[in-house]
Amino acid sequence: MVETINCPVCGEVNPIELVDCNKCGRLLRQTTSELDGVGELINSGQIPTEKKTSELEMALPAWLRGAREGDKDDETTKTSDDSSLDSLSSPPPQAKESAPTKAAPLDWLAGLDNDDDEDEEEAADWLVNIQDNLPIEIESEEEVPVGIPASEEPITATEAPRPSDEEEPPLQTGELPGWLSDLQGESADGNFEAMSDLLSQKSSAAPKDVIDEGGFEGDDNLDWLSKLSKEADAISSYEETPSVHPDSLSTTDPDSPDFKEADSLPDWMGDLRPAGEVSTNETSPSIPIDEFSAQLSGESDASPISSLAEESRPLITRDDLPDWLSSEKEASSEDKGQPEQTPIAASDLPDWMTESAEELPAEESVGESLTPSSDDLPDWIASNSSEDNPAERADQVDDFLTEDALEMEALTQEQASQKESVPSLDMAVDADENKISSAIKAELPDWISEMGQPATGSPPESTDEVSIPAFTEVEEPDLVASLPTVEGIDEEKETEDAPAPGTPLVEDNVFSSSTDENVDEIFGNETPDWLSSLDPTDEDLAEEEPDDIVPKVDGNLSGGELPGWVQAMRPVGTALSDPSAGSGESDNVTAESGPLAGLSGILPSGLDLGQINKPMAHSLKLNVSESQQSSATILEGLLASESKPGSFKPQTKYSSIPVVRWLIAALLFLIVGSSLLSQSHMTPSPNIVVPEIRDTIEIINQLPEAGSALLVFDYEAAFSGEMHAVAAPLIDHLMLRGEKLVILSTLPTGPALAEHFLVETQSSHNYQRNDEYLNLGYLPGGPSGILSFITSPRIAITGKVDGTSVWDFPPLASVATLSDFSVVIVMTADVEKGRAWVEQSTIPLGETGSPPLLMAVSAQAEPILYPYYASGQVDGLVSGLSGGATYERLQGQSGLGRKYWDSYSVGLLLAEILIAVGAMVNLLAALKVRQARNKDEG
Amino acid sequence: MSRYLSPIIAISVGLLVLLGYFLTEGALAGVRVTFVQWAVILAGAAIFVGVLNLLSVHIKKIREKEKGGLYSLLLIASLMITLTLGLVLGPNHSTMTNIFNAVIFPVETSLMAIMAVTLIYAGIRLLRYRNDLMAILFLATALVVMLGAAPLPFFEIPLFGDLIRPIFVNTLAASGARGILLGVALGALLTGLRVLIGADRPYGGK
Amino acid sequence: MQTSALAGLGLILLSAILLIGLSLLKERVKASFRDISAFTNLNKALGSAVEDGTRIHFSLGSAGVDNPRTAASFSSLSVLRHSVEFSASGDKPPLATSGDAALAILSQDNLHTAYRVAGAEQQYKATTGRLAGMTPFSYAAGVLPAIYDEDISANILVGGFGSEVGLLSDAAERKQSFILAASDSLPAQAILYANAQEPLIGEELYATGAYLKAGRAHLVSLYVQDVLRWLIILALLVGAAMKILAGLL
Repeated sequence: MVETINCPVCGEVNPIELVDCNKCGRLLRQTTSELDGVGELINSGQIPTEKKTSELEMALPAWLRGAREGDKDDETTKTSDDSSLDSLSSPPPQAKESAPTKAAPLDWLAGLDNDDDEDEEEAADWLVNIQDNLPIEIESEEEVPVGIPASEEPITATEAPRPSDEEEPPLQTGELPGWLSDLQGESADGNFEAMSDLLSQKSSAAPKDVIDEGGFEGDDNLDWLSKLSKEADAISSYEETPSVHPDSLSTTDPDSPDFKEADSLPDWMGDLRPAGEVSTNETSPSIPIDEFSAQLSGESDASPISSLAEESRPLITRDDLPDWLSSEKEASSEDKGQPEQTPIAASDLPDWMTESAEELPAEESVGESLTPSSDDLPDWIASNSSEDNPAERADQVDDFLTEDALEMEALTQEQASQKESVPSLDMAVDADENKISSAIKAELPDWISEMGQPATGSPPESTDEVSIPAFTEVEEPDLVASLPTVEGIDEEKETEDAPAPGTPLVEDNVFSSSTDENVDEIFGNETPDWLSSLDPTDEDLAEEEPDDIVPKVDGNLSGGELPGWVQAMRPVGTALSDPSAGSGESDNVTAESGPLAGLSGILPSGLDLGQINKPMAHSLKLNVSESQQSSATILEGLLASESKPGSFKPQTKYSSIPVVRWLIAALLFLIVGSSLLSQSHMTPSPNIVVPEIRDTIEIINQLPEAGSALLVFDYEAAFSGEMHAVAAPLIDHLMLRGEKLVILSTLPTGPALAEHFLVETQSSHNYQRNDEYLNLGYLPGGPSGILSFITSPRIAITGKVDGTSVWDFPPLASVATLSDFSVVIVMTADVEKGRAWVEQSTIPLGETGSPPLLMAVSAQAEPILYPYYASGQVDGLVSGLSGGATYERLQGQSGLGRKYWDSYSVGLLLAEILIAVGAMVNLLAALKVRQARNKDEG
Repeated sequence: MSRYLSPIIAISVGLLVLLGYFLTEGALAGVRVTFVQWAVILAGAAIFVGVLNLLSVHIKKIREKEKGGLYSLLLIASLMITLTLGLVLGPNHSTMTNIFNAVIFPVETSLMAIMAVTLIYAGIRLLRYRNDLMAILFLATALVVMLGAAPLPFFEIPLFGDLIRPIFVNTLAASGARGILLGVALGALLTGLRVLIGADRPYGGK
Repeated sequence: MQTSALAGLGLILLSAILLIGLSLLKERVKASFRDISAFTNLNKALGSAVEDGTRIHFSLGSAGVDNPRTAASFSSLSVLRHSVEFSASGDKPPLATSGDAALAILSQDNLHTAYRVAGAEQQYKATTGRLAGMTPFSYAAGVLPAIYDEDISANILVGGFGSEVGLLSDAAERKQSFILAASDSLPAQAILYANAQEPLIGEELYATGAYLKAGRAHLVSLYVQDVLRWLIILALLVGAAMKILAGLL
């Protein structure tokens, strides 16, 4: 069976022997197959085999291999300063003309070449060393771990690469990686210092010193980095934004005596130093980063640079700075053996970061104050002051370029023996634009050359300066000037008489706040707002003297937006500003602007394209079509509606109309009251003789005389108005018969109600208490109590009245059981009470000879209790006002029944009219609403 | 144990009283009477507890100065005065009778009078939110009964009081009432049985 | 024992047997009852009251526990308990008023149980179960201030009411609150039909437990009620037929 393999792109089935897909032509296997035997594909869980880095070179893209090959060629040749300058100043097309393999000296990608074992370091050592508490080992070869070179060490997936024995010590912060320093060749060894050196205050070494000491070379060494270190040493004061360039420009040996401390640092570096620190030798105070940040953000009134002169707290030590930023010379003599937290001295700063020591008399003072030269300041800082002192800036640029070129070769030779290949701050400080030879300047890419040009466009003319410090104590750039200043700025400003610092690496106008576009060009669209919004014409800056641009604190660094490693790699702008420096003598393409400004050997942007332009700024906005926008709008609306509570339809409530109530009450009061008061008798008495009333009358007429009648008052006081009218004629009839009354109630208010009834309706009979009538009181227990009383009254009622048993009184003298009563009359308005009495007394009262059971009930209970009469359980029934009125009429009496009859009739009629009319109105309104609702729904 | 004590007492006593109603002869009758008497006593004691609860509610209302706190103060004062006089003078004393006649009697009769206005207004408003056939029939029946309850002033509708109203009251209403009462009785029966078998515990507890 | 007593005892025994037997047959007996909108609206009203943070008022009537109307009181207690279990999480505790002292004590006990079941025992307050009055109209007079002044959004008037329920329903209607009312008294039912939003007529009072998911026993008892009702209907028809035949013969 033929083995097949599916194409990872199109899915076509191909024979396993094929390399490319038959359908789409893509590789059937992973790119690692390009290793071609170098290594097999690694499956999951499989530990990769160790490989040598050199063996993996074939895995690199062709263009990268070519660049590395070109780097190799450059490394082997030691060119003059001109050639090194050419690497920076040569336009990209020129560089492209050369073989791609012959990479520019500044081919930072050449680190993949492992030919140079000496200078190879860990690729990310300089990044690794961007940490605190890392010992500075750049100067000490003894600290290099013993072992196979890191480049040759196979990198496994299970373990981190270990430093090679032959490798140089880990890079300090800002230190160039070994592969980067390798480009400089042996002469570049030692040119690079830890990035932490950048933060240290350097002696006023002219930038050109950096260059002379080994900055620019004809080969692919990163001479421009070494220039930076020299410039930092040379420059002690700045009038413009000091250029920031890595020590690779400079080949100055950090330990060599030629290193001069940079008195000034770039603003962004200088700000990191305490403002009050002015020591150039032993102490290298740093500025608290937080304060620096605060100053930059405007929280502090002090200018970040000027405030640095006051701080004396060393927070960023030498260890934190890359080697190329720190003075190797000072470090070797001073910092060696010191604890890791030794602050960076001003002398440790590269030349380009400090003012020129020779040309600038105020170099030392500047070094004390560590005010970086405006030339060495980034352009975005230097541009702020460029408008004020364009001439000085131009002079600084020229000086830097000149000196840098002269010092380049010297630095290269001195640094060749060093294994460290980190940029040195000293070199940067010592770098001086004036030292840069014209040839070198001619080789510089235009974009680097432009950076050295002042705002006015005129290049610096002065080339007398030996070194142009990277940071000179010149007028504060506008960018920095816009920052709030702090009080107590070190007033030792020597930049007034100080010569112009070296040409900044970066064009002034690039970082000019007045030209935000330039800022954007450099940083693309990611320029922080605070950076782009800085106004070079700020009043604060205008008031500041040029010397106040940078703080007079050792080791202070001004802030910069470019990362340190980018800053370190940037060549000195002054070295590139000389148009005659790079007049096409070199084929290497050198970047003239941008992050790679000053770097040679970059890939050309294209033939006949002229100067490399900055990449187009692309908008970060998405291109959204209308349909997408509408969809997004809909989605947004849906999401927003989710958070909104839905409309709640409350239940329909019908409000009460108090006016109607008042109207009804008023009408009732008026009509019923008038009728009651008038006693007009306009309504005839009921003449219907209902049988239940007739039977009741007959029963009472047949009662034995002087008997005892049991009266049960089981209605509430609220129903007394009706019940009095119902029961009054019955009780009156009973009293006329001479019956004694025994009152009982199953309600707590019953006994009192009975007394009231007798007083209100039967006062004419003048019955005496305990003689003619006896009130037994409250009978508890409800139906159970009723049953108990019916069964055995003397047990159920044992109460005493005034100390005498109730059964001794005359009404109960002859009563022992329920049957001994002559009649039982239950008066109630409650159906349940009536039912209870009826149901409980049916059995005892059903027997022969038992007393009759009569009921006087309210009209509301009649429908329920009438069946009891119909069934014979109740012997007589008087219900409602009509029953009472009928009873009175039949008895020929005139009582409450007749009295209330007219009012009752009128009131009923009024109620009927109101209910009928109101109901009709509401019915029509409801029908209208329903029609409207149906219409809406329809 | 307390969780089962209440159901045990409730079920046992309920069954004994129920059987005592049907078995009037024998010991169960006496047991039933005894339990009933105990229930009566407990009901009286419950009245005392209820009064205390009433006092606590209104005292809290007064203390927290809630709305109607003045009326709560009046209620507590009236309660104390009536209780004191009743304990001292006796329930049959004329003073107590006068208090009843002056306060309780007119208040309750007034509330009943308000009922008349309320019911008339309810009749007017019935078709406003319940405009269906049953509501119309309900109102019509009410009007017929009212018309037949009393003769109209100055004239009388023939057959209304003699024939129509008795049919509505004694036949239609009564039959419907009986059916409802039967259902109520069945519901009461099953409710009582649920308590007797322990399925329902109105006396609290899960 | 008289015939009527025997008939009554037989009815009770039959009901008990049906109730116990059908309760044991959980799976076979699946009763389905007609939909009563009053209980649906009751759940809505309870939920709304909880959400609004208003109070729910349970009026248990004045029937007491020592009279034939005790069943209505028991039914009202069942409604109270299961409704409070549902609405125990409200901001304001529900209010239970009674017209009988013993009923007031039972209402407090049921409130306490409901809170305990709902896991909110600490929210129980004894003053939420009140004795409003000793007589029906004094009870109504005592409840009216609570309806007007205590931010009540739902009134559950279930129990042994008389005509005084008209005052309570009228007050609740003035406050535009939800009213669910049920009584075993015919006059009260007539008044509630005209005054209340959701009146329960007839034996629907005793069906509240079943519709409120109080337990299977409530469902079974309702089922037994239907069985007994059909038996009574059958007995009435048979009796009427026999009476007619006897008259004819």
